[in-house]
Amino acid sequence: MKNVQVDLKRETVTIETNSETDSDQNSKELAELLTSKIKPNGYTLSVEKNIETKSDDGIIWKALPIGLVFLILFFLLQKSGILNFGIGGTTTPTTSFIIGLIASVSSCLAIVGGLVLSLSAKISEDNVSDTKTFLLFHGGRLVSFALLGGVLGLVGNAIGINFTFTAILGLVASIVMLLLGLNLVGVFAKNKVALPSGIFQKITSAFRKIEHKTFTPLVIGFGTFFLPCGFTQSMQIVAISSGSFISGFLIMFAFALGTLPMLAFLSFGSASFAHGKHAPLFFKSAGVVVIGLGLFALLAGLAGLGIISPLFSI
Amino acid sequence: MKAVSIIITLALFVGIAIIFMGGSTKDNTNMGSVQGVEIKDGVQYITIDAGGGYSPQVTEAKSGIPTKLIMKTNGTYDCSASLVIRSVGYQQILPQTGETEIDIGIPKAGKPIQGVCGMGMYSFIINFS
Repeated sequence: MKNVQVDLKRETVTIETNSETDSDQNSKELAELLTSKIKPNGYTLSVEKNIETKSDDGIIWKALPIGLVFLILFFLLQKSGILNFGIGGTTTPTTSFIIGLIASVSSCLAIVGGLVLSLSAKISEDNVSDTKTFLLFHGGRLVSFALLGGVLGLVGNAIGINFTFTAILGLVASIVMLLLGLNLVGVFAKNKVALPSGIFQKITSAFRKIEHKTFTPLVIGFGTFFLPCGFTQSMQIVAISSGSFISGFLIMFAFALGTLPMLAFLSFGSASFAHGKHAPLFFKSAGVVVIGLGLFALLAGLAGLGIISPLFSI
Repeated sequence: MKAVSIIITLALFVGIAIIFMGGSTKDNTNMGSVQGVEIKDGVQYITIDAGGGYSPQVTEAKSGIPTKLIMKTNGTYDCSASLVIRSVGYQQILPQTGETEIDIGIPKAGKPIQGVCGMGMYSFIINFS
């Protein structure tokens, strides 16, 4: 090997060798050999240019309007007041199921749904065994809602209804959404140079590791019980005043069951899009939606904590 | 193609801005209760409906007299049930249906009191003069 030149802009590496028999076959072998050495650092080398980077351009201009349309529909739904009818009478498991259905398309969707959408799209993108992960998440969510509801009914005391705690958890969730959203849109992908042991690489590899574990989806499902959502908090109060383990259990289980269709649609829908023909467009559109919801949740969360004055009343 | 997309994108951004900035259509369409400010036996009562947001969102009241806030709920399960009024240190989840009385002391002129729901997307303000 005589001389090596790297052109980052064009993403090419020019290699001059001493080899006499310079053929196509030879350079292919060389590329494979070099790739095996540099792969751990996040680079690959091939004779033909990766098509992936070419088709990427322009998709964002389709994804932006698609994502924005979904955001507008969501905010219009909130503003319309359709979801704001009062539900009178005592809360039975049936009414809590209906409240769950409403909650799953309400402003709570911004935070719980946004988180589910961003995590699901990311998991599908990384080709982890997504079905298993989603089943664990939704199963874990149903079981922990029911059990925690039961505990609330039994103890008759407010665990998890600490405003500041839920608000901070909400801020963390919205920051995760923003990061994943930017990642899905492809903002971070522009960094073609991998930083050796860079902090971001560490985060990414840590995230990869987390995804594979059985435990994590269960914990995130459990964690959604404490995410800031007015409906969830109201149901927790109902569970507390219900006075027994069984009634609290049933009320929270029915509520979680009501939220299931929408959340399951978000995660399994992501997976089917992710394995379909329009996957790149889907990831970028989902990223736009998630960034929008994340921003909304972040600003609202900061207002809820009294850090900024409320910017909107939707 | 790209130019068209950029134009559509900008138009959609304007749409979102209108949704957020536009006045709430929910004002005065509350659940049929008597709203507003009432003074009885030297105590000022301010009534606010909670349910899909707060109404009225802006209330004008008098300063310098003992004031109580009455939060009315009627089958309210959404965020507006979880009420935070930071200036008086109030953080509670309102009962689904009923009236909750909150003592806010003797308000001073020019010091408005703001209530926010737990997630922060609904708010109301009471100005004192």
